[in-house]
Amino acid sequence: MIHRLRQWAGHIGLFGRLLALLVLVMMVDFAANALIFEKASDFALHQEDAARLAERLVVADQVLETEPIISRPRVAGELSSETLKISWSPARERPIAALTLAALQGQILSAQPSLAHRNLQLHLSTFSEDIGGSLTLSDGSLVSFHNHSKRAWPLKAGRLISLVLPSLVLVGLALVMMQAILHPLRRLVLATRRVGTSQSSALEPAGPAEVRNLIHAFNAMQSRIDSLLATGTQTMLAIGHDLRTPLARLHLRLDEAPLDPAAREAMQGDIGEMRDLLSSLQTFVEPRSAEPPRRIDIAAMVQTLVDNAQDQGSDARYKGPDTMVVMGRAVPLRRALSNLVSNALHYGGNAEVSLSVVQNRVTVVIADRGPGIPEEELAHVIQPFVRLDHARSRDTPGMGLGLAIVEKSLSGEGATVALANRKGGGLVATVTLAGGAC
Amino acid sequence: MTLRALMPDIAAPDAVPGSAPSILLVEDDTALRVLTARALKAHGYDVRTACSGAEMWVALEAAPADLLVLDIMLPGTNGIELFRRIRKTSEVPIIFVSARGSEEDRVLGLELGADDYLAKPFGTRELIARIGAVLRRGGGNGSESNGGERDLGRRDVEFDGWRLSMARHELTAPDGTIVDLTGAEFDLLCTFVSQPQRVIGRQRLIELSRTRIGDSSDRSIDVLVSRLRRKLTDTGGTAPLVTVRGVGYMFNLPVTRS
Repeated sequence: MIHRLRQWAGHIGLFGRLLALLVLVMMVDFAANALIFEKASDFALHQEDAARLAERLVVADQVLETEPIISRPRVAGELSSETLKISWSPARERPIAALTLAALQGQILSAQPSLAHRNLQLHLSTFSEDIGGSLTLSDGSLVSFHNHSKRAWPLKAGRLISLVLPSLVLVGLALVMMQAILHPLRRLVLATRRVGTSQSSALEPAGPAEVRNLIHAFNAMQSRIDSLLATGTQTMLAIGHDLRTPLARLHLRLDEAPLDPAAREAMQGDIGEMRDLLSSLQTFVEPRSAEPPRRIDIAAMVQTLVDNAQDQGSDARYKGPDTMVVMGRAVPLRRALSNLVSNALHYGGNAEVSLSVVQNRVTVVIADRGPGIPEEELAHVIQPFVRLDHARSRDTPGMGLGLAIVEKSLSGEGATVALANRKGGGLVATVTLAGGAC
Repeated sequence: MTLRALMPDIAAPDAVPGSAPSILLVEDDTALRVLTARALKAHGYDVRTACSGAEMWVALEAAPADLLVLDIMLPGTNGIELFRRIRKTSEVPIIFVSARGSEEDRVLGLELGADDYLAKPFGTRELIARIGAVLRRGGGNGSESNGGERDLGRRDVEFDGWRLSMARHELTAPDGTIVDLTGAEFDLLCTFVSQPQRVIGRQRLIELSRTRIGDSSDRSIDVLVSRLRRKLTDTGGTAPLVTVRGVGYMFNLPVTRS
């Protein structure tokens, strides 16, 4: 039953919901007004007070009735006291009371029945408990009075609440309903931020019909994007993978072909380069490793890269502690740092690597004394398949994926890489890990 | 890789007819299968071929092989699964060949217990060298040190809480921290743990590290040993590498293989 109701509610659109809200507001307003009228006609003073008021009205009525017209205003003034102001006017017209105090009228008339034919009218001031009113003399002139009440403040609070409460209820209702309408939209915003990442997932349709339609459309779009990405990855992996068998054939054929040794060596070099291209392509599109982070001696890792380069006769130096433990995944970290050291050696001819903790984050700096990168190109070199268009990089093997692989490997670890030119020439790559040393 | 460092460039198998090592090559690409078989025959091996798991079983039924070269991506049952089934009954040396060539793939193959892993594309030299190395390690002559080295090539090594993974080339400290080693350091440590509690001459160590270090000399071996000592004492304690004055070095901890 509740499920049915929900299904039915789900088909009501934003427009329908707003309309419903409006109808609800009107109904509550109507009810509140009706309640205030009801309350007002029930309004009563203590019996005693009502009797006193009635008595004074009878006195005023009798005195002013017999007084000549000229002296009536003065006498009316003399009849007034601090709590009851009385005035006389010849006007026959009287203001129309907004609220009729039926209960109080009954109290007064039962105390002084003689006032019945004086056409007594009572009204209540809006923001105080003051009672005003008027009665007509036999010649049609008007006696007005105004009663100050001193002990009425609890009643005032009551009336204030009764005035404000409907608004509060309405505001609360509106909040709840807007919340209900907006909640699925907020989920949609969150999900949109995750499109194309590994955390993307289909959304459960919820909310008004328009939002449901939007969620359906979003889910369809997301699955299209996912399948596009997956197709792209599959294509690249297939290229990286399927070209290897023909390359292996080529290599073996080359080995048995009667060739001049120099030509053979050159061709073997070409095959080697193609193999490296395929490897970097595969590395770039490979999905992220799912293995959990482990304790890694990052100092040993960096020193190992530097020592390996030294063992092969390169100019690489390390400055930093002998040991420093961080949490992370060794394969992507090692790949990123290794690519940066290789880049420094290849382009700069040397690598100055240092390890330190800067502002609680482990930082590896890889610097060289090469030509650096033109300032306007610094931002682009990390993009995949981008290669700098100047002589320096023409003879470089690879597809321009080196730094893209660095960036991708590091981002999976919550780490970042920043490139900058050095004073006095050279490039400096700063790798900032997600956390500090353990 | 450690054991590559231990061998000459091209292995020359026994040239006596009839005693040539027999190799079973399992590869689904026809042209590559023919080319590889021809290259192996040219180097004196007795080669049989199979294009699928089914053919492989038939060939193994007919006659045993001294070594299997097994492509991972095969139609039907893949190479990994075939490897598992072979290992249930036989310890025949197996070299994986793969077109994937990723580090994870290599590690997976070696952790399963394959004797080596060869990524496509490969040349004749590399293929022959790897086969020669595996055959020498596993060589049926049964000399104790040979058997030990083959074991070492396939199994992880433990000493005093440290663990040396042969497949990953990874050293893990007793507290679980991964401590990277250079190629030369890894080879040196492998040499030490393969002959624990025995003095190894300085000259032999220099020869072994020649393929890894451009300038291999007395001094560079000392540098290498001191680097290794530093890494093995990262978490406190004393390094298990003892200098034996005038002779060489000794690894003075018992080693277990798992």
